Amino acid sequence: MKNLKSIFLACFVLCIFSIGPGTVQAAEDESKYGGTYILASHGDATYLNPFFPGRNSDQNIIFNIHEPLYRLNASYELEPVLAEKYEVSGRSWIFHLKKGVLFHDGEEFTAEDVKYTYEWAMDPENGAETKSNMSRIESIEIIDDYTVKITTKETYAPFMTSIANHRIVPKHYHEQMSAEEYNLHPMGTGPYKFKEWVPGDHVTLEAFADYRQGRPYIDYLKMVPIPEPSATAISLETGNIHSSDWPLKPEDTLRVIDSEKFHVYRGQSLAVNHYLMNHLNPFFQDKRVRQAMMYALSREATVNHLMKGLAAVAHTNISPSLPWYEDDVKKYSYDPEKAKQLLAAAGWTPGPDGILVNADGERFEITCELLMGDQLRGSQAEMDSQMLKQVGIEMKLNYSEMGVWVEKMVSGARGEWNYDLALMNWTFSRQTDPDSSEYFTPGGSNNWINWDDPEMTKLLEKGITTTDPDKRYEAYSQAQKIFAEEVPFLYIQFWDNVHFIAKEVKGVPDPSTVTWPFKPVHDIKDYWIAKD
Amino acid sequence: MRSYIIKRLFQSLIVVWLVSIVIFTTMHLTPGDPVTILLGQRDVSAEQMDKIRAKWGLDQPIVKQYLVWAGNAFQGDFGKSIAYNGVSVIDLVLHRVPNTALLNLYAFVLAIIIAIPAGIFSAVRQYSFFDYATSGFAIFAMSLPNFWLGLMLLIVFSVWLGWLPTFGIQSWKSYILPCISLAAMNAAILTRFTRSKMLEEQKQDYVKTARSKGVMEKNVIRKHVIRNAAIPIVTLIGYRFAYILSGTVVIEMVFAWPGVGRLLVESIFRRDYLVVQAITLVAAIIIVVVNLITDISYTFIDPRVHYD
Repeated sequence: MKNLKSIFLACFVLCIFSIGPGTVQAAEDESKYGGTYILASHGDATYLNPFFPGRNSDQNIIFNIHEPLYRLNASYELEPVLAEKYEVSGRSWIFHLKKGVLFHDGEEFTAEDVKYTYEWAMDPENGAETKSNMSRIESIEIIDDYTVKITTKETYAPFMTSIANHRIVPKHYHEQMSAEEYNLHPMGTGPYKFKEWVPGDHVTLEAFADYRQGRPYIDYLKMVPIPEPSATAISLETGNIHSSDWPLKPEDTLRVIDSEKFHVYRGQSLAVNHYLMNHLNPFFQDKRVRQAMMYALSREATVNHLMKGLAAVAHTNISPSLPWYEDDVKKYSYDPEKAKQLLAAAGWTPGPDGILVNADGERFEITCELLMGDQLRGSQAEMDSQMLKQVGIEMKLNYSEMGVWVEKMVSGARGEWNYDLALMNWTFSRQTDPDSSEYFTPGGSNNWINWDDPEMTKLLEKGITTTDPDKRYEAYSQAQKIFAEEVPFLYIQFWDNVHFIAKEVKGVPDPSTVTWPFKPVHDIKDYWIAKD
Repeated sequence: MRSYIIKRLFQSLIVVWLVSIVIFTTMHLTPGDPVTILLGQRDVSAEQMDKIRAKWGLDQPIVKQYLVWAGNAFQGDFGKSIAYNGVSVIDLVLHRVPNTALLNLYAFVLAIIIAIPAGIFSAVRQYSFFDYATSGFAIFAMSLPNFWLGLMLLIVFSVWLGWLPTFGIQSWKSYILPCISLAAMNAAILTRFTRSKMLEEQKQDYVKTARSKGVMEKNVIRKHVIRNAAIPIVTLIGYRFAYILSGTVVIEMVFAWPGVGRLLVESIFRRDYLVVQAITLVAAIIIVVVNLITDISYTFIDPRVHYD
């Protein structure tokens, strides 16, 4: 009897040991499910539509509902999403699509949806923001349900970036409603499906149970607009939000960066902080003047004192975090004496009040356009105007609000002279692709500075029509050398963008592998929230 | 009385109509257009922008735009938001009205509950410790910019103490900090005003008469002084009401409050004409109505006032 008991006991213990770990494992997996991830955005959602994805806050939503054929992951690598693989020969691109992918209403994703989406974007009647991504497409052909052939008008190197920039909508659903209706009820194949949008309050997405990689762990993604940057920082510190889609102010960043409460992602922005320079102003026609202005500015002082080290001095228009960056270019260190010499050589002599005067008696007086309420760049422009004054250039500051400001800049691209300088941050590439032809070639829709340098134009055109990476690199390297020599605008620095995700969120990317631009919720399908 | 109200209502209609013209023209005369703001920094051709402009009717002559808008608005159709690409303006605004209205109602009640007794008491006990303390507080509260007060309250009660939420409407607790920030200024102004009106009235001959008749001091204050001081106070309350929108704008930005004020500011920046026009028009109507109510309430407070 006693033996029987011990046998039972032994069996029981064995059972526990054999079953134990397995069940614990399952329970652990089970416990990953649930919770709501709260993301703060600096602006409210506006267009929840993959054809109008321009605004950061909207992208958090659109990119979780819809998926592209390929995407650029957090390390800038091209990665298949809805496509299995692609083949390219010359102008023709064949995409093999994944099978069995479902839209949120249960319909299957096929080649029809790809053709429909791209053609809708290309149709000028629709006024899609993504039209330029598709502008090089000549024709789209459906070979079978899971194969699409796209022919481009010419050999076009950045084409895969264009593909990665365009997300697919369901044809059967999108074609039966207006763009306005679609904005309010978007649908795709992504890990999250649309639940509700209360303008000004929140947008909520819900995990899609039939997602092709399995249901995401986190039940809901809720995006709440918090317009005041200090309030965003406070909400992050108090654990009211898990992350913010927009970097905090430098002083808030420095306060939070050493906190144990967050996963910290620090990377260099792709956008260069610069003074846009309108070349319709005759003062800027002489290269020596532009170079002198570069020598006159202590960009190190801006980086160290104003940005408190959260930035790096720029040497070209391309961010050093991109493989396309060329370091072997003309570099400008702070040298006011050299600036004065160059200005003198260009025919500018000091007037009675110390401000330079040219042969026609015109004072070197220019205006810098700033956005109202832009405190950080406002202080930067004030610092810089002092430094410019030391070499005899008077830079006045003019603040206007967004609408007026953008109008002035855009009129630059139409060949109107409505501004001299404007301080802003802008990306002069197509995300990770170095194509900047829209910005620097005559007629380019974003050529706000009226830049026209035939050699640079030739190199930039070569860059997009050559597919060989080495030849492309060569073209962009040459273009950057010309850029640094010619100074189409005054380039100052690349800001560090720092993002925080609360530590209770697990499954986040390893900060050391992440390059820019990092988006806290673009990989939310892999995250889970630890319950304490 | 009835004919007075009808007359005033008719005048109000004219005021609202004039306001609508002013709003419309100032909005459209301000440089910058919504489509440029929306798409200006993107890779969109000029023809595409023109197409989008045409879609929203922005290519029509301004007079025609006004007539179309006014005609629709009169029938209760305020059109669709450009920045929210197609969300109906009425939905946008109506959804937020309760949030702003409740917040301001609480803040107003809070201000009145604090200010009127404090004002009366410091007038009755002039130069007492209480009087100095309230005056000190009032001056302090009046000189604080309310966004700063809001941020400081956030730091103390949310960051340090961790008691209250930091943004939006999550529960009743969310109302506390924005309410205090909004009420502070009004409470301060009302306290000071009540005190000075009470002091003024106490110097009047009828108070002397009452006192010399031997009316108890309690009754002198309650039945005579307060009643006579009440009219200017009610006027001030009505007047401060007009400032609701301007005060609430800042607070709604700080606390990420899903209210009308924030929508207004954001829409102005985006030149979302129809939203701005709808909100300002509604605000104008509210102010006109509140003024009317204030005027009518005089008849209840002071029997000497009557309209024929």
